[in-house]
Amino acid sequence: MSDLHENLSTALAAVEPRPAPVEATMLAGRKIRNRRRAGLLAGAVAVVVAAVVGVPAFTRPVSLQPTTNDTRVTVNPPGPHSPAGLIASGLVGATPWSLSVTAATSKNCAFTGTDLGYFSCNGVLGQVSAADPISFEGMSGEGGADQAFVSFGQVWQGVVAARVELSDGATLTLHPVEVDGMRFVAFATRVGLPIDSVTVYSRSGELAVAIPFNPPDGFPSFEAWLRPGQAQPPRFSGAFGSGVAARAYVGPWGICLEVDNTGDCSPVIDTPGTAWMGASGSVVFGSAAESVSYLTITRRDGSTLRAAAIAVGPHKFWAVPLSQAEQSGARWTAYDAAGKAVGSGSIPLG
Amino acid sequence: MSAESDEQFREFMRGRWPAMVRLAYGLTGDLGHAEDVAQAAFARAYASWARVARTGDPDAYVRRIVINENHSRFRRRRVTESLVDAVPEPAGQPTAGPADALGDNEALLKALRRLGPRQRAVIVLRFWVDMSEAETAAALNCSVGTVKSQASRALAALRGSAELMEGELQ
Repeated sequence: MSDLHENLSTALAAVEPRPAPVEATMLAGRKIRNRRRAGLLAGAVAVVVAAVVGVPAFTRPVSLQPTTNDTRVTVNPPGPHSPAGLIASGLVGATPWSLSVTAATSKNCAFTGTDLGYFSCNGVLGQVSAADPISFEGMSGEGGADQAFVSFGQVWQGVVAARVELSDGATLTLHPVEVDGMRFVAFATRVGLPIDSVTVYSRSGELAVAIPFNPPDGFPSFEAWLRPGQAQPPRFSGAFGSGVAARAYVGPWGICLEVDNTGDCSPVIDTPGTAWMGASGSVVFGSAAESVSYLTITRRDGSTLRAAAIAVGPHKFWAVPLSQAEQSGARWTAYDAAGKAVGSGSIPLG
Repeated sequence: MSAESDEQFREFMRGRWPAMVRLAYGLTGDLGHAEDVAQAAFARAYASWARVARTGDPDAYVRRIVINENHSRFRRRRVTESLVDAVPEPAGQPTAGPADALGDNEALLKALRRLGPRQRAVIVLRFWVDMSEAETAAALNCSVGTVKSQASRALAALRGSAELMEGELQ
């Protein structure tokens, strides 16, 4: 086996990454921190706005009866003889699923389950709050006609139950399970079956609703939570790439961008001057202020690319193909409809 | 965050960036995605840097997130991908430049990419990161027996790979 180690070492050592994008990474890290704070603020602001404009109540009566109308998906809580750490188990069609958490309080904490891989808790736990009451993650099994996608997450202490509404009309009721002093829920769906919503309840009633983004033939992504009474933001989708496949999905889940076949979602968007948002190995993309009509990307050799700033709902986005080599030293300039430059900056390395 | 703390993170990231990208490359088989995964992992570490630095082992923290981020990317990328026995070449894999520079090493990396994600993870963690069977089992949250069986199947697949020269894995 030492040969394999040597061969792997040689092969992987030949992989030469580009220089470490330290400053761009720190910027992204600050955004993660700010997003955690903004989630709290956005929730509070949204409640105020909803109250001022008199949006009809979104609240539903607390009804937590177990569902019996769906035989395709079952979610069972652990029983007295269940293995330690089991959060839930059941069937998706004829396929059993289960989800457990192990070593919940240690750095080796991980989620795992029947026919699932592993999902480390490290960096995932401890971020729930009243404004973000369940921190959903997810993973899928690896085969079978009834392939399961299991959503799971830590639950805020004030939550007593959650109700999952699936697009086929089924409803699943979840009760948090305590493991090592932390509380978790888990449920499974068939891959490709959209989830309409997850509503969480405290002892005093409805606490929040999440309407996930269900990408076509993909897995649901939970990002934003709506407060009781908060109006659902309208849904928009549209292509925005200039020479590259890019599509934005704006709605109650926040903003999800699919660029170059890779998805990325965020619960809130920075109000942009002309905000860069991201880059991958071959694409740069971003949001733009309402006044921006187009951007030019100037490569280090002086050649330029033009990117249209395209509105998708209330937001504008842009994307252009730009290789990693071209990203180094590239700059963007934003222009309004009259051709006046309204902003500029460097392209952070993706 | 203090300037001193920022500088500490910069030094850490510059030092560990190549290793984390290579780990992610071993797990994903795609350099562009590997860099994305590694950068996302470092960003998450920076977002909680005070806490991460206090652990005294930020390297282990970032490595763990690289594994998690790989799951996350895999999950999203599967919007447009489906698992098959013979994994196709990842989209966007360069056909010139870095891949060519790999030369004969590319054969091993190509064979690695043809493994399933769990088997690939076992091979990379066990035989490149040099984790013991027990450590690999802990990292993947499975039994030592599962590590052994996955490793055995993965090694058999690698040995049978058309890309690899006979005897390379003896």
